[in-house]
Amino acid sequence: MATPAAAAAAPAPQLEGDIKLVSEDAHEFVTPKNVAAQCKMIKTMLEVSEEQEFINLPNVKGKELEKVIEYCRYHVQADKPDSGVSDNDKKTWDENFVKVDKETLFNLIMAANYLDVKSLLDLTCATVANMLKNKTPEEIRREFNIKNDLTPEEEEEIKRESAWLYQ
Amino acid sequence: MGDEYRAGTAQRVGGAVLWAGAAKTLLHSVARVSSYQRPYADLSSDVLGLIFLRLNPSELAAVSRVSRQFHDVAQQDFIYKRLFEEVMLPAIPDEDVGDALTKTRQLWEAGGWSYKDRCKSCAGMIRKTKSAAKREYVSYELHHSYALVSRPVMLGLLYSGFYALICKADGVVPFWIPRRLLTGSWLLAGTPCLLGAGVLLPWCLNALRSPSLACYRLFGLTWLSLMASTALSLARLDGLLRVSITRAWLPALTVSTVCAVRSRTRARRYLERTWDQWTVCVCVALWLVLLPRMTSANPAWWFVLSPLALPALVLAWFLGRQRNLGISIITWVPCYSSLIPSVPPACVPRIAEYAGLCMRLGGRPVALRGLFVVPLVLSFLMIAFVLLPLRERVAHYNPPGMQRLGMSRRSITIRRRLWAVFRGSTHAAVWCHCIFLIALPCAWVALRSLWRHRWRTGAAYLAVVVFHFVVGRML
Repeated sequence: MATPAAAAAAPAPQLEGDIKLVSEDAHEFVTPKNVAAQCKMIKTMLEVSEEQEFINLPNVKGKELEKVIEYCRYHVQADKPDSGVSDNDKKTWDENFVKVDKETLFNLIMAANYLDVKSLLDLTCATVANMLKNKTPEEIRREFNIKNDLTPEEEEEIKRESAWLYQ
Repeated sequence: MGDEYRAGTAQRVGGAVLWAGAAKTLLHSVARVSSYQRPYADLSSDVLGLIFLRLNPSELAAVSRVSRQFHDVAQQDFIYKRLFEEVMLPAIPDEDVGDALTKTRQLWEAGGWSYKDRCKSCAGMIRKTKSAAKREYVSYELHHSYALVSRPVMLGLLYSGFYALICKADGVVPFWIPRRLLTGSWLLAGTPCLLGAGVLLPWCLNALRSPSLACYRLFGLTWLSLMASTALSLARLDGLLRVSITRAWLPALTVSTVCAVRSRTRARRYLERTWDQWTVCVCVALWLVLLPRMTSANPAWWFVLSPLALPALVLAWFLGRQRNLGISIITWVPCYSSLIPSVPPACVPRIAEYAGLCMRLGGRPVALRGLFVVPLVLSFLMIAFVLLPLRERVAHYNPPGMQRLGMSRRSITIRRRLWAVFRGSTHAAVWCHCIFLIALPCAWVALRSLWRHRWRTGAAYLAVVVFHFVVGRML
């Protein structure tokens, strides 16, 4: 029986082979396990049982799952030491990757959050944050079609609370 | 000429193509936005928080005015902490530490005064990076550490003190209060109460001399004035002073009202947040102490109160998600149990405290904002005027004698009604107090919520009102 110290020192098992990811709308994607393991949630599942052949992802639609896999595949390749991809290239690729319509972007955020892909979550959140910048509340509501459920008194109070920010 | 014409035509055609392209793009984007109806509906608050982490203070202020969900998310602690660490602190020059503290305070206030963690972490960072802030930091540390230790002691002393005063007014001597305390002077009976207020004295003084703690300063002032007025009233009851009780309470009333008006939302928020934490602890302790006593004094009470309190609690907690309201109800059950003779302790200060809390809508201030101190003052006034001296007067209710003294019929009727209320015991007067300070404001809030179609909030508050009146009828 291995001691805890020995177990801790042992290298993480290499993930080999492919795994089938099944989306909410029954789309199937066969992807290398090391690419899928970029998603922390999938990695944990694979660590628990390496033998499983497919994973159901009931909270992610096919369109978004395809994008997530595309993102993971690119970064697995680009992060290899001999890939020759510079940080600038990665940045440009990321910028192009998130040039999608708002619906896809929000779904991507939720997919990244669910699958626990931190870098993708950061990227998508930053993109939405950029959309919110330099806009008035009314412009934000109009752009994102949000209903204002604050009463005029509440709005007034919030404005008063943050008055110092505009001084 | 021909070339010029051709060039002009080409320019016009090019312009038209550009305009057509721009119009098409615009139409596409409009179509995309209008076809997409619920962009944020499914985003959890956690994810919104991650998005908001990328905004600077003014952008955050803008998004917090977009909708209620946005506002609630923008107020979370981690967003403000990050704002302070990454935006505020690096932007503050070393020599401008005072400003840093002021700005930090403003951040806390804007975030709704989750003061303890935020204060410690921010002040800690300032200490590490800005050596000149050490003195201020020590002051902050002292301030909060003392407040944390002193509050339970203060509450315990205050409760037992007020209960002792009520027992003295009723002429009851429960076994757990030393007889000497109740048979002596009023000042002696009120000693625990004054000691309880005295525990807070260093904290108040620290608040008074701190330039950057305006909110605490107001609170400190209020406490000091209330303490002084209580002492004056007790001294008056003992005959040591000739000042009238009305005059004794004038400073407290004036200072508290001024502070309430001055502090408005800031102090109100501070009070709600910090007192809530302690309320939970106190409530649990009270339950543990009271449960065996209630059942031993009269087991029927426990059976009567539990079925009433629990559904109301569940309603408040789950339907309305009114945290404060839920806590209020937990607090109130021991309050009612204190109406049973010989069951300690009465939670008189709690009554006033929660009257203030009930005058709000689950985190949303109501029109009576800023008047949180008034119920507190009313509570003290009630003790000073109603519970102690007035009861003595109505005890000598004698209509023929009054008529002979030339009192009007109306005046005698009022006295008779008062006598009817207070003839039972001072505990009944406390109940009367509950109706005016809790049930009526709650009824008002409930009506207001229902009028504004806030059904859950209205239902939760109505449950509280019904709970109060049903228990009141049984008493």
